[in-house]
Amino acid sequence: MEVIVVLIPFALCLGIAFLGLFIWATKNGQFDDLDTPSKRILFEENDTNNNERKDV
Amino acid sequence: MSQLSQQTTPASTSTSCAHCDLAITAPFLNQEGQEFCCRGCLSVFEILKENNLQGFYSIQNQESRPKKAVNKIEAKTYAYLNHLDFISEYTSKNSNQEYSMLFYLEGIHCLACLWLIEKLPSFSSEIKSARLNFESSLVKVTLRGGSQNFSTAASTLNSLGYTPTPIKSDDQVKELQKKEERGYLLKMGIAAACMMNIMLYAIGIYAGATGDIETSFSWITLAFSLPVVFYSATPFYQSSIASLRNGSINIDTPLSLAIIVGFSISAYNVFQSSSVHYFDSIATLTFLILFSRYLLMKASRHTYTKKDLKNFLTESSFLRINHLANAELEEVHISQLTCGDTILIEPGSGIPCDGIITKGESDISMAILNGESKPKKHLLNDFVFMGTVNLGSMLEVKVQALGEDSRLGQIYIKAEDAEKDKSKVTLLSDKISKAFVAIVLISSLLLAIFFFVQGAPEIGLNRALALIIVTCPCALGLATPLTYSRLINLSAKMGALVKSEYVLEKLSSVENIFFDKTGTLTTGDYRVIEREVLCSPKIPFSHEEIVFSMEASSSHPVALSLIDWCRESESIIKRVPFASSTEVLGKGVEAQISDISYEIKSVPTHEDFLLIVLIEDGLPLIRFHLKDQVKKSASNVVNELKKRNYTIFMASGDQQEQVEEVAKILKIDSKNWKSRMSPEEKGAWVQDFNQTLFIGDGVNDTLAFSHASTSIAVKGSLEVGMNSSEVYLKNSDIELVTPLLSMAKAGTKTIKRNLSFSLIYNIAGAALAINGSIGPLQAAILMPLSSLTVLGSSLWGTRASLFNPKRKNKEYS
Repeated sequence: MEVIVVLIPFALCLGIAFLGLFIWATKNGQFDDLDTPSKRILFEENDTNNNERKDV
Repeated sequence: MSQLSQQTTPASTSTSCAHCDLAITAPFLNQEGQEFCCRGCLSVFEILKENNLQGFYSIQNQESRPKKAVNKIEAKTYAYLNHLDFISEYTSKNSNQEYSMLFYLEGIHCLACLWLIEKLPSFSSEIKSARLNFESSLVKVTLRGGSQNFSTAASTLNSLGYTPTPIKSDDQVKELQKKEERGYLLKMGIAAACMMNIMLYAIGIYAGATGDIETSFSWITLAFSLPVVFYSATPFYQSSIASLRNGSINIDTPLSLAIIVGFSISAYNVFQSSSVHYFDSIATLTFLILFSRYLLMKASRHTYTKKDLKNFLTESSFLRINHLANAELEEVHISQLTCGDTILIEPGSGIPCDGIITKGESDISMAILNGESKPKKHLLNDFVFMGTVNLGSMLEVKVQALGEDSRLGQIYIKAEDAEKDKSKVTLLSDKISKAFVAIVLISSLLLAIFFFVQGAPEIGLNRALALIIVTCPCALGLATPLTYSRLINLSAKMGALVKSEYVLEKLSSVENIFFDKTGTLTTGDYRVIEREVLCSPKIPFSHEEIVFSMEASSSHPVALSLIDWCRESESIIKRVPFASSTEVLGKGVEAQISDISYEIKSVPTHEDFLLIVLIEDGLPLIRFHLKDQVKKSASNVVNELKKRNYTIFMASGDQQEQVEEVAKILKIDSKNWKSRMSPEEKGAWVQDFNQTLFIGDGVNDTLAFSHASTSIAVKGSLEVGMNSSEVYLKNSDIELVTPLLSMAKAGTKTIKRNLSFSLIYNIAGAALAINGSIGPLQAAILMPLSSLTVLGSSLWGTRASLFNPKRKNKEYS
């Protein structure tokens, strides 16, 4: 049962790490538009030319 | 309606458009002989083929959404976008020194559109990316390498059928909204993470942990509730302080109380090594309420609003005569016009300013300003007003007043002032929480005192705390935003954009409904109501086929009505192969075939309808009567509303005969309609009644909107509609009024049901808490349970099948 001394801090760190990622993602604007990306991924990337993968 | 003998179509000929799949009545053919329903579809098809973008069609076929034909495309260069003044105001620069501009697009309706728009870079090497937000129809176009040439992007978007309107990218309101949403999301996310972590350790304690483990777990839960209490719940504190300053209590007061008192006493108990903690309940409470409010915020914000009078017309560019450079014409944006400029107003175009006609004479539709359906002839040196539409021939107008200085602008300012005076409606749930809070506070105080007097202050404190937590207004705080956000989303899907939840509450208590006439109950434009056939044509085509072929390329409003009429009266229209065809601006169309000359022109009359004649070699063949017609759906709507016991009124700026006629058709009581009303008079009339709803088109009814309890706008450009009214109908479909009113009533009914449930729950819970039967464990279970029930009740009360138009016989009390 003493393993709990290791498990709890580990769980806490993991939780805080993901929380940090969530905060970063929100500030980066990744949650602003939740509908369009879900539609966008269904498109196929088939042609070349001047099509650059954006990220504005 | 004469019907030509049906042409049997050979089995091999398809009669659906190669681009949009809709049925074709008058085929347009491209060089390969493929058929299209309109020129718009044809041109887009050709563009796609040229640029190898036929992937569009495979995506369109996967769509379940109905396909739409392309809007009429007018070629525009958008040269004004490259003007230096424009660039500085409308573009933003990113860290790579690349410029971006935001456009609002019309005509986005399916995934294939999304795909096509984001393929914009393939049309020009200057365009780096185009990123579309599907819900709001806003696209952000970024150019490569420091280029500022947005006119190519805009004209490409236009040629594909998506008319772009540039949007200022540094719009303060939009920025603030975005920050607020992100802030809420952060608070919500942190509350969620902490809530779940707290629960993890709290369960351990409930399961019977003791000793060191229990102590350490208690401290951990305390630590996790710190972010919740001091960060996530801050919106509640701010809101309760704000309302306390105004001398009233709103729903956030009991909420904040529960959280603060709950946290303090629980923390105290941790220090005292007692096991009475409510951290998990507090965190869950905070998270659930934040969540429902976030959903409501998102729901009421998916429409684009912008408060800038200069941009309210649908055309954004005008031709200005530059007197400094030999009367050369330059294309400018409306924001670049100044008083004293002379601009060209093309037929069919809206007039962007108050001004004087310096050259030309024309018929101008005043409908948008005062509701008159017959256009008024304006001559040289006559005054014209912003918002009216030039129907006849080209005019030169000298600008005298723009934006807020124009007559329309003044009306807007008056309307804004009236809005400020309008007392804000208190939501039903807010009213109840005032009484509720008082009772809970007094009860818990009495409880604490009782036990203090009895000599057991600890018990008293804990029971009082249990009371506060258990009676926490979850139903009040959760259910109302959830119900309203569902309804707002549902109505948006139907095409009705509702500004806020207050609007829904107001709609549910409406008793008197005022309709504007022109554009709301009537179509607002001229439709063919009658035809007089005089003789048959010499060539083997029907009258409609000749008229259609001659007017097919015109964008004049009268031509469009004639085209619609021809389409509806024939199943297949054969094109007349005219040798030549010319449009004489403002006068009509002329065409020649094998030495026979045809003319279509309007004949001035003193009647209340427009007379259009088709003439062959000088002799009239057929006469059309065009008039503003009552919408087909208008009678249905008025009857349905009368059945539901609403009192119907009609307010119009038009002449008495016109208004009387419409009143007769719609069976509106003679004391309930008035004619020849100015915008100011409409506003005044509405003020005589209570619980009023005004339904009109955005421009000349602005004052009436602000004086009524609530308002619905039917037409007009997007910004106009959203700014002056509380609901905007995207498709000008007044049939949406009845389901909207049903929704509002259903919302109130659901909320009342939720409130009664919460009352029962709270009384039971309070009794148990006072009794001492409720500890932290029970509270932690009961609260989410009650929240879920209330959530289920809200979802069930706003289920989409309730508002299905097929259920007309259901009464909403």
